[in-house]
Amino acid sequence: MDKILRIQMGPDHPPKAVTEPIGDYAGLGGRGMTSAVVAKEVPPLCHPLGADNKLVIAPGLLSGSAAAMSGRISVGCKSPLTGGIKEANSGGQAAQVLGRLGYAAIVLEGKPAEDKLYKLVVNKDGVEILPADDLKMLGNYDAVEKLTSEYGDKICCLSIGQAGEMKLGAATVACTDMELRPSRHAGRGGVGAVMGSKGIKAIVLDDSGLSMRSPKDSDKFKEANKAFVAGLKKHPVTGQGLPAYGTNVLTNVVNEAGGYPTYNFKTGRFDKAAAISGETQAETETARGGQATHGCHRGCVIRCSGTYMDKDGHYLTKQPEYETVWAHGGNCGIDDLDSIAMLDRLDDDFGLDTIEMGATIGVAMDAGLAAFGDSAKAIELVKEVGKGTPLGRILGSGAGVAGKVFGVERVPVVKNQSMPAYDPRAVQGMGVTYATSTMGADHTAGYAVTANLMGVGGNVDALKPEGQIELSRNLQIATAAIDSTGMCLFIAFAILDQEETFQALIDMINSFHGLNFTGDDVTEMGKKILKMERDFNERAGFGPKDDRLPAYFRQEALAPHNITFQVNDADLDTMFDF
Amino acid sequence: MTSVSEPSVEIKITVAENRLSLMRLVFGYGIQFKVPAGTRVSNFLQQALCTDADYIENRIQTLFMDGRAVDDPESEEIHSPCTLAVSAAMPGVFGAAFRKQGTYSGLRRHCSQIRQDQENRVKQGRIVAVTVKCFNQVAADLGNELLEAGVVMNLKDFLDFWARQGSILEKDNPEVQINHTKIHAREVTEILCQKTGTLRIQINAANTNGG
Ligand code: SF4
Repeated sequence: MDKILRIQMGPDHPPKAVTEPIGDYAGLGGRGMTSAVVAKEVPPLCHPLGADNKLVIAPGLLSGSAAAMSGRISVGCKSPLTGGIKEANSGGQAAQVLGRLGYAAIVLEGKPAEDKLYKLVVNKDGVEILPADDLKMLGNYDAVEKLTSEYGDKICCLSIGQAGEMKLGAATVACTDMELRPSRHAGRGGVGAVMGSKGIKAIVLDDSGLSMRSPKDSDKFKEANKAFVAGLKKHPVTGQGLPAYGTNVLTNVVNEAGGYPTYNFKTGRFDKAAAISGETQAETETARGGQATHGCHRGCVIRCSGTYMDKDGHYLTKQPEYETVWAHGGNCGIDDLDSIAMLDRLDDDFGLDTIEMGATIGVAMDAGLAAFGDSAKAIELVKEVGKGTPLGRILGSGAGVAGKVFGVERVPVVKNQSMPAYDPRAVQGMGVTYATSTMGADHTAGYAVTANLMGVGGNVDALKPEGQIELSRNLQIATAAIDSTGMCLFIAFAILDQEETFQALIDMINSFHGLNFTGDDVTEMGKKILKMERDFNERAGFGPKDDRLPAYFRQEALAPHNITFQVNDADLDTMFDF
Repeated sequence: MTSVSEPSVEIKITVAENRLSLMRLVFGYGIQFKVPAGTRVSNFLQQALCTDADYIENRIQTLFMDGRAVDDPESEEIHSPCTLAVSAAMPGVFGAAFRKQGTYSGLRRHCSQIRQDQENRVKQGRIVAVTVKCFNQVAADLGNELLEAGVVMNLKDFLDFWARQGSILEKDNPEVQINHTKIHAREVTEILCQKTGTLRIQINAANTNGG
């Protein structure tokens, strides 16, 4: 992975591919790579859909190797949804294949002169940019099927659906999984719209004839990888909870804690949560012949995913994630897993962020476009997006736009990006992350738990806001670092609890690259990335006023605990003091 | 408020062994117990869930009483009707924040203190109703034995469960008895929807060899 592929789309010349040495970006992967390129090369005040923006697609530091869990791919740009820097990452096969092809990043630049669609084909023989108007306004499933019939089933694809082509704020970049289903998405921030603005419908990656990347110190790497896998397998979350129930194992528990945003963030508990829980979902999947345990890419040993079949036993979608089940479920008062799975399928096909769409439908329900709990109407509304009707384009632009168009005050966004599935009043540390993350409201930005990484152990008092700021800061730093390794974030739990598993991860990176990284270096890497992102956002015009939750989170107490968000603004403003 | 009345209905179902996991979903709705006020949470859970202190201590990583995390089930007491929810380890920052005595357990409001105020006002010696919800691996670990022994749940909750999952069970044509009378699985809803209160449910596996 010592080269970068730049696809220059114009407008002054026909699309062309340029491969160049990695240069100054050496040693960077995943989010570290995408944010570095965007921060250095994209003018912060540019229009996100204009020629000056770039879409950077980067595998992780260990992608394409035998390292377990190393298959996340990062997609970065200036976000059309938030207006700030964006990194969205996804599972699926793309990171592993791109790593084997030897590219540390693909950068889509410029803009074609004409309104034409292209596809990019990358294999061991080189790169081709080909017309793809035959894929116009196809959903991701149909587009991938066409590409598979043309290029065979050894490929993997990155693609956009109708939402990306329409350049909507909720548009994703889809990645195919091991079964060539476009079911994994770099979901947040409208990255698919930027791909659409470059006129690229799909990227076909084929690593046939290439072997895995090999480590500098093979014996040490093997040993470290073995210890890492053993650590993941023995931990109760990564070894049992996630494989058995997927991320949706959280529904019952978050609901019980009173932190499950329900009816567009009106209350913290959904009385039908059990019906859409991970436990129920896993049973439903198994009873219909689907899988409750499944990996999204080669080399995943946690396997938190699954396959969801319809009532007749036909594949409908991958196992909807906790955030999806919440967004289209409890947040909209919908208690029917089949409808939620259908909404997930539609989102994946049109190329829409499930969190953004669920939050948007919740806002639309508040506006009276549908009743809470009306799953048929929710499905109709999402179908409007696929059809590209004016209503659909409004909804596909996200909750912020929908709230403005329909005159709704209760719009759960920060930096115009919808909040995920934890109410910030009941989980206040999460509220700090939503408010201050460089990415807009994003749970993954502070998902990792980092006591071991940061050496900041001990109790943090909930009643002291300083503690929550520090917690969120440490989580955000650690997450930025993990996102750069290309490792799935779910390794975080095992890393927290088992020092030897964290060490095994460091040993893997060191033995692979011939480095001498320590835990402190990892922390420093996270800090550097965050500072870079923060700096970009400041240059794009962001200030303290953007690091705030909507006012109603301070004014309206959340049942059942009757609490408001209490971390004060002055403390929020200290987040990046490091 | 949880009812402490005796169950008005008893239902016994014999299901294929591979359907036991489906039946365990009833633990997500909650099963009901009566307990003398003042009982410690740990003791109660040991008896209610037919398990031991070691299990409560080590396997149950997240424990809520009325939505507030309980750090120390050994010292926490039950004084008024409540819902306890028990779970194995949870992923992510949420799991860490709500884990018993986890690194960040101090992030929560102080459940113990809050409840202490209430408890001081409650007289001992009364019987109170407790609903227990068991999630994920906890239900998987303990559920089969509990179902075999019989558990009490809200009848309305059972009807909701049956409305969602009954069709899968009905296909297997399991043996069903309501108040000792054999019925067809298809008739369950019709018979039970006329009743109110709580229901005692007992589940046996048709093939008991698998364990
Ligand atoms: S744990 Fe889940 S999200 Fe992570 S790589 Fe595996 S299947 Fe994908």
